[in-house]
Parts: sequence; C-alpha cells; structure tokens
Amino acid sequence: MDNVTRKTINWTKRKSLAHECVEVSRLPIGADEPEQIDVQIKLPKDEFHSSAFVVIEAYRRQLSKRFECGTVGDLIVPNPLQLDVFGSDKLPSLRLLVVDNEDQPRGRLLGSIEKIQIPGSGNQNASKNSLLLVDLGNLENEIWKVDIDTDTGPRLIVDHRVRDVGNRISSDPELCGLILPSAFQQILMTLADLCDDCDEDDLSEGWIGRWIKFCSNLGVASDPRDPETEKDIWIEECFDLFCEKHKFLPRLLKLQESNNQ
Amino acid sequence: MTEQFRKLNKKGYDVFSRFIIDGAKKEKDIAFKDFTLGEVPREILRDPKTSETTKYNFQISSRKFHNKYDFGQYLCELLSDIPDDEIENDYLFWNTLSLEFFDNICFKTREGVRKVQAKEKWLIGEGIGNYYRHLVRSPWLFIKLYNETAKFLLQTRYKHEHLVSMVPETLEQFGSRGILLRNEKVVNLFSKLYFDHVAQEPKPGLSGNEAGSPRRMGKVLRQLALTFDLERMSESDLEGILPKEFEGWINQK
Repeated sequence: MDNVTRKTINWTKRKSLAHECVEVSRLPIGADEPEQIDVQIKLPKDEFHSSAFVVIEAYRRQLSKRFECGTVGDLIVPNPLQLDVFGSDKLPSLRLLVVDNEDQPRGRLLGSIEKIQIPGSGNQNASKNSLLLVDLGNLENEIWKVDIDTDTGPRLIVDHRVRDVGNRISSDPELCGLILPSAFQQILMTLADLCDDCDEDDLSEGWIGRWIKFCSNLGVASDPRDPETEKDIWIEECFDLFCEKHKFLPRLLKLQESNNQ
Repeated sequence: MTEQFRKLNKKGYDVFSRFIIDGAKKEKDIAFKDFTLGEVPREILRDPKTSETTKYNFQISSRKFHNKYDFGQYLCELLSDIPDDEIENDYLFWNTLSLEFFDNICFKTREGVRKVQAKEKWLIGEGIGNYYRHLVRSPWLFIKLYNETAKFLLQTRYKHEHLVSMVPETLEQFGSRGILLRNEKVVNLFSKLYFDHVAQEPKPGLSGNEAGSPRRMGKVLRQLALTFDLERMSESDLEGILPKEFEGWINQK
C-alpha cells in the first residue's frame, strides 16, 4: 500500500473553513413533526468577496435539501430550517458552501465546510472514531443488517429481540462468526465502489480513510484506490485476512468442544 | 364519480410490508429474488384499524398503462387537486397507492403468480431512501419535476407488456446518485446526451462503465461537485466543464 502515491490538486483554491463557523442547534418539535434546526453562520472577515452566495445543504444518502442563505455581505439564514424530507429515523449531515458569483463559469466553490453534524444525531463522536457502530433496532424478519451511510460510515443493526445481543455481538463466538464476516464483506464491497470518488477529507478524516487503513493493517498489500488493483481480489484478500485474524471457526469449534465436555 | 381516499396508517403499513416481506419466506431464497406473493391484502384499506379517511377525493381507474410516463401523467392528473408538498414525502400515502395499483405494478404471470425482485419497488419507508425505485411515486415525482424531460428517466428501450412494473435502465443508472436527480439542469444534460428525442427512448449503449457512459457521468459529476455548486450552474456551463470523454455523446445528433 505504501508504494501508491495519490496526489490531490486543489486547483480552484477552494478554502476549507473551520467547523466553528457554523453553530447548529435542534429546535423542540411535537410528536410526528419534522425536525427543525437553527443555524448561525459566522464567516471569517475578508476571506471572500461580499457578493459570494452562501448555501447550507442538508443531505443523507440520496436525499438533500438546500437552503439559500443570501450572500457573504448580506447573510440571511432562513431559520428555522425544516428537515422534512429526511424522516425521523436519522438526521442528515450539513455542508456549507460559499459560491462564486463573479467569474465564469458561475458556481465555482470558494469555500466549504463538509460533514457538519447536527447535535444529537449520534454520528458526532462515533463517526470520528468508530470503525463500525453497532445499533439495536426492530428488523421485522431479519436478524441483522448493515446500513451504510456514505457520509458517516457503516452501522451494524441487530434486532433488539435477540437475547443479550449488545454484549454477545463482541464476545459470543457463534454470533460473531455468523454475522461479522458477512457484514465485513458487505462493507468492503461498498468501500471498493466509493473509494474512487473520495476526496482528501474522506481519506484523512472520514470513515473511508479509517477503513482503508484498517484493511492495510490487516496486511493487504494492494490499495483499492490504485487503478491497477482488481477490486474483487482486494475484497477477497481483506476478507481472508480478517477471518484469519479473528479465527472465527477455531473459536466456534473450541466453544463446541467445551460445551460437549 | 370520486370517492374519499383512505390511507394506510402505520399498522396498515406494517401489514402491507409484512405481506411483501413474508412472501420471501415462502421461498428458500430470502434474498428477495424470485419469490411468489400470496393474496393482496386489499381489505386493509377498508378496515378502520389499518387505514383512515383523508380529505382527498378521487377515483382510481383500473385501466392499463402503456409505460411509466403514461402512468405518471395519469397520476399527475389524478392527484392534481392535492398540493405537491402535502404528499411528496408522505410514505403512507405512496404505500397506499402501491396497494391500490398493485395489479399494475406487480402483475400476475401466466402461471398466476406475482414475483418480486426488490421490495423497495413497492415499499417506501419513512425517510424515503432509495426513492427512485418506487413504482408509483417516481413516475409522479419526475413528471412533476421535469415535465416531458422525465421521459428520459421513465421510458425504456425494452418492449414489454408490463413496463409500469419495471425500473427503467436510465433510472437505475442515475438513481444511485439520487441527489443529481433533483437537479433540473443535470437531468436536462443527461437527457440531451443520452436520450433519442426522435425515437423517444434512451439511446443504445448506455450500459457499461467505459469512458463517456452514464455510469461514468455520475462519478464525474460527483467529483465536479467538490469544486462547483452544480445547482447554480447553467446547462451550458455544466456541459463546458465536462471532460473530453463525453464529447462523443455531446456531438451526437
């Protein structure tokens, strides 16, 4: 993996702004009402010309909602922002865009803040540190499933009716062996597809970078971002090494043996 | 004559989704491929425990539709008295219509069975993920958004008796980059490049992953969105920033 050099050229000189420029708070809502947030924006002085547009975009998977917030010189955030398209099960992430309004072609990004988390979304610390979040849910007929949010990363959801599942998912050889390899494989497939498109932020701070590093630490020599890499083979190598590291079958057999004694 | 529309409540939605999902259990393959469904639970639309009256009045026709565009036009006409923002994200409303139009969108084969390949074609959840695949909401939504340009997303090159029950290949190609489908200029660009406006169907050769393909277009636009605000760009500006690999399609008449 070390022999792959990737260069990212920020040829448009887009400025990456600090998350502190945006303050987000959730507003109280009644039952069955859509989420509402209040957003305050404080842009650094003299960084952008005053006619540049400012936009807040809420997004989650294939859904997005855009809020025009005036210009740098005349900021008008249309508070409260209604997040009605996203449902109540999971909050979206936000991004702030500062958009050029003077040069051709129109629409060049002068600055941005990516992956702004809404307080209480459950993604804030988790998305920064965890490789795989485990949540309990009501899955009707499934026992578990992997839910991959391309912005915040994968979650393993296990049905809450499975006895003591919160503890067993990390310690029970039977449950681990039946769920984790397959979940890992699903995540790798998505990762292989997404890593071609990812940007510098995704690699340095996001879940994609963490997962690629995790796979590299397993001992996989190839890099999924390298055009020479056969992705199917990369997935297979990662999968084999993951199973080897965690010894799923030997642990299960050992458990069976001790149960028989 | 119109009648008051009854909408599934959450309990009704559970019954309907269980009907679709439980179908899977009848077959050994639980990967939602190629299983058969039982009797459609239409009674839940009459039962006050599973559905409720609404203020909407319309009469649903039992006619057949030639294709998804035809179906979408019918839906737009049928629902024309209802404000769009009242129903656009109402998953219970669209699941109710799934049930109402079930014979159209999940037809019976000659052997008398209904087959399901992907549950999201019939079921839409709160939060409306994978929304582009829903067989009732998508035709309505894309015609509402793009009028005739929606043909690009709703028409197919296939000749088939039950086109209304299929997700067209162009929608599959672009749907996974769903945010792009909400950008009118991007959709106009897709339509200009990949739709044959004389034959009124997508151009041949849209599948695959090679240079200039729709799949590549999705990836390229996602990368360009890191540098440009695509929403604010004009169609000609958008066309102007595309890499050379798309020139063949741009120059094609």
